[in-house]
Amino acid sequence: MKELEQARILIIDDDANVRKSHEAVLKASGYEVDVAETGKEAIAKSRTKLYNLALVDLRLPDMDGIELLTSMREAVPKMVKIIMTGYPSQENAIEAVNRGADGYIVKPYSMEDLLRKIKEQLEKQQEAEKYSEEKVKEFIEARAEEHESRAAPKGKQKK
Amino acid sequence: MHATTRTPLLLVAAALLMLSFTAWRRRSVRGSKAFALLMLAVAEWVIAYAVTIMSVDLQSAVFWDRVQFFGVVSVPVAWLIFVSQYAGGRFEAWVRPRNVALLSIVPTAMLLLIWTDEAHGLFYSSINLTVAESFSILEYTFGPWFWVHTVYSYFLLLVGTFLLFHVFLRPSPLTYRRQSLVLLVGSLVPWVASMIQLYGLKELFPVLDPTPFLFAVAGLTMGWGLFRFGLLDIMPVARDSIVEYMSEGVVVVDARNRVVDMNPAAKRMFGYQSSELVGQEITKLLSNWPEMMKRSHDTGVVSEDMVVNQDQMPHYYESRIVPLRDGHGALSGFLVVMQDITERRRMEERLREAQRMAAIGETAAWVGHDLRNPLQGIAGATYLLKTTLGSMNPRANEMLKLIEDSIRYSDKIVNDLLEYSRELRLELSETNVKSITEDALGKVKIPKGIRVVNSTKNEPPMELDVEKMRRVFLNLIRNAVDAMPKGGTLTIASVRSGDNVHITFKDIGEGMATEALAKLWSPLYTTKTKGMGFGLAIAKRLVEAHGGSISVETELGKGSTFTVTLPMKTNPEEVKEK
Repeated sequence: MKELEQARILIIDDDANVRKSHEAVLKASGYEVDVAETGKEAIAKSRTKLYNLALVDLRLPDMDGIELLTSMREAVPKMVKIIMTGYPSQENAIEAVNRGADGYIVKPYSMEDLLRKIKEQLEKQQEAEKYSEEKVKEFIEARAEEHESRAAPKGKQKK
Repeated sequence: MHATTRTPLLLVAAALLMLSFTAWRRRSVRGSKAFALLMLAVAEWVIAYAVTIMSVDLQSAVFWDRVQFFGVVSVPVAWLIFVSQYAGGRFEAWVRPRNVALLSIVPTAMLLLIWTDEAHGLFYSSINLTVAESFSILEYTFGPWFWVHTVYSYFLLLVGTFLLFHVFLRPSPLTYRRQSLVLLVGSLVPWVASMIQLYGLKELFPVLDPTPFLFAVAGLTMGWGLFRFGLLDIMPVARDSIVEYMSEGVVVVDARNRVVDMNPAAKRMFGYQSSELVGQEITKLLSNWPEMMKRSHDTGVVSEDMVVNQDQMPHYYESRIVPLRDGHGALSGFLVVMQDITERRRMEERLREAQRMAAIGETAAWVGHDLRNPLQGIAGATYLLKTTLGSMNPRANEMLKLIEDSIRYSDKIVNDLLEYSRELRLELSETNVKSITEDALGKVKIPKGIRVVNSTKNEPPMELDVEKMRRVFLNLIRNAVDAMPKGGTLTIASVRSGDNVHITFKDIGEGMATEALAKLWSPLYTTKTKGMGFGLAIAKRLVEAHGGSISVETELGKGSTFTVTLPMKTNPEEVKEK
């Protein structure tokens, strides 16, 4: 699981105490952590660096957290986005999921819960990544074989 | 040959018929029917008289003479009924079918005797017809019954006239005084005429009977009076009944502050009989009267709100004091008009309370949400400390766990606050009390020393919001458990009565003091050292949303019983109104 612990996480919350405490906890758990106070800052950071996971507060000073979900740069592998909010409602939960959120967690939550959720999501992401890597590999191999088998008769013909 | 006599008589008759018709069209006003009948009777009398004097043979003259009497006998009765109803109040109380029938005995007997005169001769003593140049005269001498009837008729007429006198003399607005004066003058016409007749009117009317003419004149005068001064439909009768039946209390006070009169509504408001109060000082009723009167002196009409305790309940009245002045502008008394505004006040209070609660709700939602961020900050920091510092220092670890407990508890308060301030929407489904109770019991950790007896029934089927009602039960169960820290028995039972089901939660715990009861249902109130303070407030709100109620019986040291009463079927419309 060494790879997992080196995952990069972006915390986006306007509350300094949340940012600081989460940064410390996640770093202590072995993750690489960046923080952003505003949506703008988060977008900028997502352009310069690839993140495996983003923790997004729903209420940000400059934009709606849900809006931010679709405006951050898409990365490969697909970035996991977890919404954290003190203002839960059925409406914003549904909208968050529709706009690509992978998790929704209501403040105040226990850090154990958050860490578990992050771990689960990252494992899932890794599996997906592995799976797609295997797929790519399989694809390339298949193409190569195809190519070889096609090339062989040609060669024969030439011969 | 008869034209000269006939024409004026028929014109008068036509005018009378018109009056009768007009009055009949306004028959919904008391007195109108009687007046219509009176005018009709006089018209019939005049017409029959006209035909009588135009008859050329004895037989037809006698016939029409008899026809005339239909009108003659009806006039006094109709007159008395009309005047009584016109006077109104206690004067018209006698006008009932039975009494009218009694009054009609003599006139009916009279008619019977006239039409059967040939057999007994009690009416006409002798008959003779003289055909004059322009009219015929039926001459007869009267039998004893004629005089009985005449005395009776004049008696009724006299009573009516006296009544009119009374109406004329009693205080009332100018229009009504004028009207009653005209009526009085009209009613006096036959009397004056009779006087004159006694002193030789015979010379003026040598041959003709003047009585029908006189009654016709009287009738026309009265008709003019009624319709000229405000018509029948605003007769004093109506005015009096307005005061009598209006819902506002009216008290008349004289210039020396003594109660002169009050209407039934005012009696009800003060809880007195008017006889007890008439002549008493108004201050007995209104303690702040001197001050109000003083203001009324300065500013005229004064309006003030006041409270009267009625059946232990405060009633609010808006009272207006109107100074009454006579024709010369001198103060003759006051009119106090009181309107019961208790219901309005209560509505206003309820509205204010609702607005206040809505404001609290909004603030609560806002505060609650905003508290979650700092709580999250604390939770994060505490976790970090716990994982780093806590593992080395057990005492620090204990303290950090305490902080985490407090965060969870704060979160619970926030959630309750939000729950309480949120708008309620019920999702009704069919269920029963037993199922909800079992559901709720499954969610509570019952301590060792506590025994739960659940004797709720799965009948009748009920329509409830299962999730919300479970929360109510849960709160009540938790309360009961918390009330018995030394152990005990919690008994939950349900019983149906009519369309309602009562569910009781009985504990044998500490019970509550009376002062605790008053605030029991308000949010943030708790007797527990560690309680949420919202449980009962939420329970009450949820139960009331179902159209039910919640109550408690308690005795210090013996325990409490909470009773939830729910209708079997929740009517969402009803709930909305609340």
